[in-house]
Amino acid sequence: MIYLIDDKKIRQEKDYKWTDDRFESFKSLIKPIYTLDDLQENTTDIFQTGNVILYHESFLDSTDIANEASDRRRRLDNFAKNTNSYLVLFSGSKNTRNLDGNIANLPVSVLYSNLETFIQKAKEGDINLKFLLFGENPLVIKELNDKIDAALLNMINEKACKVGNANFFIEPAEKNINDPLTGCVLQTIFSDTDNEFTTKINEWLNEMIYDNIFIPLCFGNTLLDYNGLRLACHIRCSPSKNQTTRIFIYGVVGADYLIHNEYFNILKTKNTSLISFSKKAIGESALIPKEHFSKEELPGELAKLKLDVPQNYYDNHAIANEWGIYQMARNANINIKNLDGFDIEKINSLYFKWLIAKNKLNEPIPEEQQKQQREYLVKIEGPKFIGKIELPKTKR
Amino acid sequence: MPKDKYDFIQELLENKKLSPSQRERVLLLVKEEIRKEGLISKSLADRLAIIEELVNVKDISEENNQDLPKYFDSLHLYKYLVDYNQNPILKSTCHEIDSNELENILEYCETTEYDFEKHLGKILDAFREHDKKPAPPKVKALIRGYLTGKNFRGNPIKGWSTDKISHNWSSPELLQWSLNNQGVPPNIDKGLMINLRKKGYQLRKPFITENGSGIYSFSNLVLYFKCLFHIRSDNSLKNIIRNFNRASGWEAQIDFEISDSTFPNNIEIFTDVDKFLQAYKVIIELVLEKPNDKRVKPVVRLSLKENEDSVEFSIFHVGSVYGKTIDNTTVRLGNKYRGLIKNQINGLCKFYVQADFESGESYRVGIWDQPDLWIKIKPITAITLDKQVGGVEHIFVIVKPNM
Repeated sequence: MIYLIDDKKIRQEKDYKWTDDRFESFKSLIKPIYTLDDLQENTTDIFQTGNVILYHESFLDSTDIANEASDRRRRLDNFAKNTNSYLVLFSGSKNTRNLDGNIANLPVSVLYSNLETFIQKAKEGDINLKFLLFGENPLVIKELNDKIDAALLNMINEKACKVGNANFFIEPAEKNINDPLTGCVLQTIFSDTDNEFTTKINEWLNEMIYDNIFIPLCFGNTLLDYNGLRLACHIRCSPSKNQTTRIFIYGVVGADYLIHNEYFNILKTKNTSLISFSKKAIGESALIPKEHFSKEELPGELAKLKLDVPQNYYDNHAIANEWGIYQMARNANINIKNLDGFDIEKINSLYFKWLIAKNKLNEPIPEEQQKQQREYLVKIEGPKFIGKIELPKTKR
Repeated sequence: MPKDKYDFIQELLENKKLSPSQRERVLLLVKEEIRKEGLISKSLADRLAIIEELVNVKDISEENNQDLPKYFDSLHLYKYLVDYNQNPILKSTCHEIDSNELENILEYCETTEYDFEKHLGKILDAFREHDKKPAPPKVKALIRGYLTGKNFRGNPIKGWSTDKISHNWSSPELLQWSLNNQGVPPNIDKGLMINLRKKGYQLRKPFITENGSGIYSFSNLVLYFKCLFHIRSDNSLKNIIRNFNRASGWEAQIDFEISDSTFPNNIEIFTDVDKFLQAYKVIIELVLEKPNDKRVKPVVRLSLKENEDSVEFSIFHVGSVYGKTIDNTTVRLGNKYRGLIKNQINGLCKFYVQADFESGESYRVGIWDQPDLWIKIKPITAITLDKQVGGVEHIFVIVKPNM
């Protein structure tokens, strides 16, 4: 059993999205403890061999026994050492993750980011604190983190390159390059969801045309997702003033690390390159002469991508249904956003955007077709979305 | 005994050029002289003992130790730092600010949105109050510099800590940033940052600390500051010492023996890490100054032990011999130790030497562990050890409140 001893419930819910409902879905595996009373009530259960204790280091600081906090932590430590149990100490004042036998120390953000992976692994009988420290693939994530840290240290005193053209630079929320390129427009990406990407592309890339867009390879919930590849796909598939602008994805690993990534093929398309995580590489890339890349070439380039049907669709029929609705609405010159009952967020998913872009459905309907639509529109009642046929879960 | 003989003895004993051992020798001769003349009586013997004691005290206070500081109990330092770390307001200067902490700040600042200026005002008020507690001036200066960028006279300083860091809570750049980033704590936690879609304060000029950490943001700075006074498993003394040895180039000159069983990672200490390392450096320099066979590196065994009310850090120079007699050790404080006490040890920790002396006996001597030592009294805590030490061991004892 995993015991999560953390008094900071607001942080848990607001900052890290670990709500009561989310804990409830794992209730056979994890039990959160919020108060000293709770802790004392469950002491016997908690201190059992084989348990995992996730302990907020300042848990006792605001209780009546604050002066015993240090001693209690030491006793927890001894318990973990002397029994076959696991102890994880986390705090908002830790900035490193380390593992010493069956005792780990880590920042609070790392704990909550990787908690679900850890629980899932524990469910499969694989209790390994490395999943909590680094997530799904601990070795590679540790390697990525170390490489990023080393690269940042290396360029700490390096000056930004001065280039004369228009550059748009996207940085991750943490472990970003300070002052990467003189005169660039700098924005931070805080989330790795399709919706966030769509919103930010609309917000950032519709004002002016840039010469280059720089994207971090690793950001978001796990560095291993190489979300920069997906963001580049989004930019190519989203109608904007910069849909064909040259993209540089800066990262600490080469293409050999990315080859199995679903979005890898974006690197095979025109005007998209992977470059090193360094100011020098960024500066030099910005000055490479550009290759012509027109919107007409885009569908052909996007056809090189091989995207999987999103996991929230249970089969190809489901996606065909949505796709059919979208096309019907388009052909009828009806704004899909005005259709009641159609989940507009689906249009923001990369898969949908990709289908639309590679099939040139972003382009306006030819004038002749529009003329015919206007003629027919007066004769027929407009289509209405009346619902979908859902198969029972057992048949999916 | 004729009167002129007494006068002569008196003059001799008052002569400041006599070393303690020479003075002891004179007293022994006087005793012998009196015994020969058959004049010894109980009262005279008592008076002689008093003279003897007075002469020794005179030696300690006059010759040796005029410039020693007043003894400062190191327990004050521990309490000062623990209280800082747990202070409801000041703790926000040594942790990242998450949603929970943000709520606390809004409550005591009586606002609905984070306001850096109000928060800073509360921090400085809380520090002024906290700073009334006793602590060594250096640690007070460290925290004052970190929070205000000023010294105790209120004059701006170039930087705080041995890294001479100019960024601090009262920097004009930070204030300017806060005006452009209303509602955002400068040392924001990652979760809150994603929640608010706002970054904390990024340093215009990132830098590398003496221990090799890159400091890019104010959050990095806050966590680094905490590492300067809170030793614990993720900032263990073992790692700090290892990094320091490496950075100082000592690993090539000394064989350090550091074992996990005698130097655990999980011992928690609140101390002035900078000062602690400076004191450690003085002891290592003593090891390197010892004449030895250049073909063989000296061996230094480091260990850490936790007791009920203290933590003992031992620097054991294996196979070395202490260069002074036990008498000399308890009477005369060498220049190195005097400097160490004045500049680092006083107020930081108690300080002991444990060694095999030339007489063949082994002692533990409290060099700096009680008030009035060396000024009015000799190290009376010198104790004979049951077994040989096997070298020279310097021990720093960090005193903790007894829980």
